[in-house]
Amino acid sequence: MLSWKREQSRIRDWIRRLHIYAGLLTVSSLLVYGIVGVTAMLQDDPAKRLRPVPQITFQEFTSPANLSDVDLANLIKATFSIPLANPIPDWAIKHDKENHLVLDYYSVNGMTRVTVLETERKLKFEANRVGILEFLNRIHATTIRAQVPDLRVRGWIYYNYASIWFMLFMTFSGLYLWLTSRPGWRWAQVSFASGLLLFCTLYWAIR
Amino acid sequence: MLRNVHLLLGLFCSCFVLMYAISSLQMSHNSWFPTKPIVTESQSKLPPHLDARVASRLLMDQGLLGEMMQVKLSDTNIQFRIQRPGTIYEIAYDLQSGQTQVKTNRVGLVGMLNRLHHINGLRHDYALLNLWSSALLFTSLTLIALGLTGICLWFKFHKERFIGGVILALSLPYGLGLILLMRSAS
Repeated sequence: MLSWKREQSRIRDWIRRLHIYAGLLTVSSLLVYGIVGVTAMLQDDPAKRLRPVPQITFQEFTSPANLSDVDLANLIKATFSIPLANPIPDWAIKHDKENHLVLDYYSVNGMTRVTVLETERKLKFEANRVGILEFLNRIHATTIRAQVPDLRVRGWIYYNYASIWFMLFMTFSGLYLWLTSRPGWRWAQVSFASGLLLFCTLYWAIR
Repeated sequence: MLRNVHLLLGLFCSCFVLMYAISSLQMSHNSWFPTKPIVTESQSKLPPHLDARVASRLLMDQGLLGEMMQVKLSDTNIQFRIQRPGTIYEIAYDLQSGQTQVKTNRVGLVGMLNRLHHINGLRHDYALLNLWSSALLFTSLTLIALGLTGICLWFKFHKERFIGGVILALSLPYGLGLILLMRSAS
C-alpha cells in the first residue's frame, strides 16, 4: 500500500514536471492565441474592417519569351524576393480586364499583387500589409497543411502544431493534477462543474 | 493564491480549451476527422410575396434557428441561408406560390467544434452566439492569464528553476523571435 502511494506520488511529480515544461515550451503561442481570441471577439465584422491602403511601386521587368504563367510567377517571386510569399497555384493565376497577368502572392503579412505590364516592360507591385493583430491572427491559423517554403514560417508552423498537442496534454494533465492533489476542494469542483455545464448547455442550445 | 487562480481558471475553461485543441487538430489533419455534413431536404409553405426578412423570420419561428445570410433575389424566387454553427439551412422561397424548399446541412461533433472555434464578434442576431462569444472571450483572457501565472508558479518552484529556465530560454526566443522575423520580413 505504502509503495503504491509512493509510486503514485512519483508519477504525480513527473506529470507536474511535464505540465510545467509543456507550459514553458508553449508560452509564446499561448499568448498569441489569447490575444487573437480577445481581438476576434472585440473587433467588428471582418467584412466591415478597413482594408489596408496598398503601397504601389513599379519595377522594370521584361518577361522572358515562352514562359508559362506559373513559371513567370515563380521567376518574379525569386527575382524580387517577395517576402514569405506562398507559391501561386495554377488555378489562382488570373488576368485583368486589359488582359494583364495578375499574380496575388499571399503571406502572413498580407497580400502583394503583381500586375505584369508586358507592353510597358514593367511590373506593378501593390503591397497590402495587414496590421499587427491581423498578422497574429494569420500566424495562429497556419497549419502544417500549408505549403509554405519560407523557413521562418515553416519554423512557426511546427511550433504552432506542437503547441496544439501540448495544449491537449496540459488540459488532461491539469485535470489529473487537480484530481490527485485537491479533489475535494469545493471551489475547484464548482469551477470545473460550472465550466462543463456552460460548455454543454451552449453546445446543445446552439446545435 | 496564484496557484488557486491558475487551477480555478484552468478548470473552468478546460472544455473550451479542449474544443480549441481538438478543432485545431482537425484543421491540421482533415482526413483524421471526417466533417462531411449530412444533407436532408424538406418542404414548407409560406404566404406568397414576402420579402426575405419576413420569410426568414417565419421560418425561424418554425424552428430553423440561426442568422440570415447570402440573400439572392430573382423575379420568381428568393434564395437565402439561415445559418448557425454546424447547421446551414439553404432556403429557396417561391414568390408566387409561397412554396419553400429547405435543404439542411448538419455536421457532426468535430465539424461543430470547428464551427464553434471560428465564431467571432459579440454582435450576432442570434443571441446564443453572443453568449458563446463571451465565453470564448473569457477563455482567451484565461489563456493569457494561465501563461503568465504559469511562469510565476514555475519560478516559485525552486527545484525546477534550472531545467525550466533552459526550456524558457529556448522556447521564448524561438517563438517570439520567429514572430519578429516574420513580421519584419520585407
